[in-house]
Amino acid sequence: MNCIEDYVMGIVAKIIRQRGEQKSRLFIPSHYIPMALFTAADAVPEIWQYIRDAGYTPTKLATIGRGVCSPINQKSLFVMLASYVLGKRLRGEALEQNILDYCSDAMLAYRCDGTIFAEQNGMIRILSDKFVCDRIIESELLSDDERNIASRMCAALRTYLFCLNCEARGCMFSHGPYYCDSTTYIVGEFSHINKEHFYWLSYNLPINNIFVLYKGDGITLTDLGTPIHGTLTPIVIFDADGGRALSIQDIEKVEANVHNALKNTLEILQEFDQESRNIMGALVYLDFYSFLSKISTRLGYEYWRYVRDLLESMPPHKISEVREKYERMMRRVALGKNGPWLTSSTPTKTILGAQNVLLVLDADGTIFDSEDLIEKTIIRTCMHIHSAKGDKDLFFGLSNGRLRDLILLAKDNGVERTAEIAGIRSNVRSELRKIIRAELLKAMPRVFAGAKEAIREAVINANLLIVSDNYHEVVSTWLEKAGLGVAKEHVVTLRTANTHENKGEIYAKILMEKKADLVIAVGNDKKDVLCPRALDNILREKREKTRVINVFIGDWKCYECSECVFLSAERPEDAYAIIMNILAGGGGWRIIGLGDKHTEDLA
Amino acid sequence: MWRKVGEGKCAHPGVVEGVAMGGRWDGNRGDIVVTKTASAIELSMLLPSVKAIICTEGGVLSHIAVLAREYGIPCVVGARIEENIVGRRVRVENGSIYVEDEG
Repeated sequence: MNCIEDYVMGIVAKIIRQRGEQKSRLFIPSHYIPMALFTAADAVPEIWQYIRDAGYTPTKLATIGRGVCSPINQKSLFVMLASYVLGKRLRGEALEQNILDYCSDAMLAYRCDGTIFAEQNGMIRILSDKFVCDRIIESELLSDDERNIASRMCAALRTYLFCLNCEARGCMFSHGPYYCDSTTYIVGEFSHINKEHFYWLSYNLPINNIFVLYKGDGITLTDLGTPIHGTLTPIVIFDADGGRALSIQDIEKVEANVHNALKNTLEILQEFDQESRNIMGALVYLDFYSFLSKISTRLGYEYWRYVRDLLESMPPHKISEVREKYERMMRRVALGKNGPWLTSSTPTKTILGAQNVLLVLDADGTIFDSEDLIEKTIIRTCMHIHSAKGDKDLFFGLSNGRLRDLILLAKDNGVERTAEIAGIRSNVRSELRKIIRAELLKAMPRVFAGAKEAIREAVINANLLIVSDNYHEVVSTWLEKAGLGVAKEHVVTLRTANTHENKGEIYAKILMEKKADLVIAVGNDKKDVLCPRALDNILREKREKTRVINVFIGDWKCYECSECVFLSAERPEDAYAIIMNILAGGGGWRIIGLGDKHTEDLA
Repeated sequence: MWRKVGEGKCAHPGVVEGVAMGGRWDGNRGDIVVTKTASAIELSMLLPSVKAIICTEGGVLSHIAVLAREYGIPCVVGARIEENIVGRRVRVENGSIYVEDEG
């Protein structure tokens, strides 16, 4: 028993040491490996009970699993064993001999090379050489050009599975080597790539189980733990369910679908910047936080240090913000309320209607005239889509919280030419900046002309503007709760992409032309606030009779000048209180709220 | 005139030249991604279209390194770079990083 236990722990330790370097920022480096095992340890007794009730002997279990793309494979059997050993060891509990024996026997029976662990002889052989040879003989092998495409598809699939599951992924499994005509082959499996596994997708990938024959020159399986990993050439790809070799068209289709699935996944994470994702990755395991020192002491590794440092360096409210966001996201996913674009595979241009995309500019002012290029660019920005009131007949903005180099406005009927860049780079010529801004200002009334009449009326009649980012409905909630005499039907919430660096100016321009008396800008980023000096440039004579109040969450100085005075709020709650005081003093405002992403926390 | 400004572990070899862009996508665009973290999820959508990746962290078995090899993109990980190269014309030559000096 000790032999197997020590061997398993040795392999786990080796994995952790090998991967001590940065791996993934969605989940914290290294810690997810033991944590995944540790978490899985809780499931082992249940699995064990199920196996016992079903009367599966190790041999029977191995027989069921043998083949390609089976959920029962060497990896899952090893994970079960490693989880059991690691979980028990961390808890200081005794191991049960019969479970160790069962796992060992099952792994031995599953393989046809007489070993239990890959490290023993550098191989995991499950299939026969004949099986591989037959597949090669009866299939049309990919040409050199096609192999590059196939390699990219595998990379896309691997990217997706890395992003989702990191090292705990069970749906990627490689085995071999197999020999055919003195050539070495490795079989790679990508299995269970379906809606059941990735439940936020509203569609299934056309092919759910794929196995790939990679050609390698005399490599062993342990070579995949070296830089060889990723360099093997796929020579033929199979649909494991039908057994047929995929054509290059099939392969391209799978790649496109995988990209859509990845895009959907990123959309789900759109609220989270990288830092938040790191925190989220840590929060997933935060419940185990009390085990940190225990594990660290017992195993003598430092993989917790990063998690601990990360969490301890964060302000507590940031952690609670991320936790709340994470919980909200999971609730939305569970309820299927992510919005149509978050749960569909529809390509961006289909969502918007390609005919509606009339002009797209990048940060350098380059016009994109190719539909494919637009699509590609939009994908590159890790698309965010916001729609006004959720109605297609207003407009969509496309942007990214960090890229800030592209925004696209499109009317549903596709008759308006409205597009603008959001984060014009400082080194872009000022002339270009002026031209683009002028274009936008010309375009905005047309955008609003296409808006719902009620919204347009509200824009015209409003005398108070709250400028900020997203979650505008929350503004309505504020006002309703505050009892300021604001009739709900007069409260209009508009959505705009959150990368309008100058959106404050843009909306101020529109509103102040309609004689707004007061502007309140709320934000946590420079793009959210209104610098009076900057406003002077566009408002001129109207500026003097318009009062501007900036409420800024956090510590920041004006980007346009050093003279601005801001009401500073340390937390979103403080900003809320400040705004409520302002509103209470004025009373009777008709309001258009352009909410801030933080304002959701205030509701 | 190319001047060497750093080097790291060569996760996937290759020689390419292009403009270095920041890995946080803060408005810079270019051909070669320079990023601190070897983040698969952050880079995932860009991988098919970038020329090379330079990560100041990570190892040759990092996820991003495996993906770079599979995509056939030159990749340097654990890079030590002596100066800010974002926005400048950069040459990646296996594990070495060069910038083009004006004039």
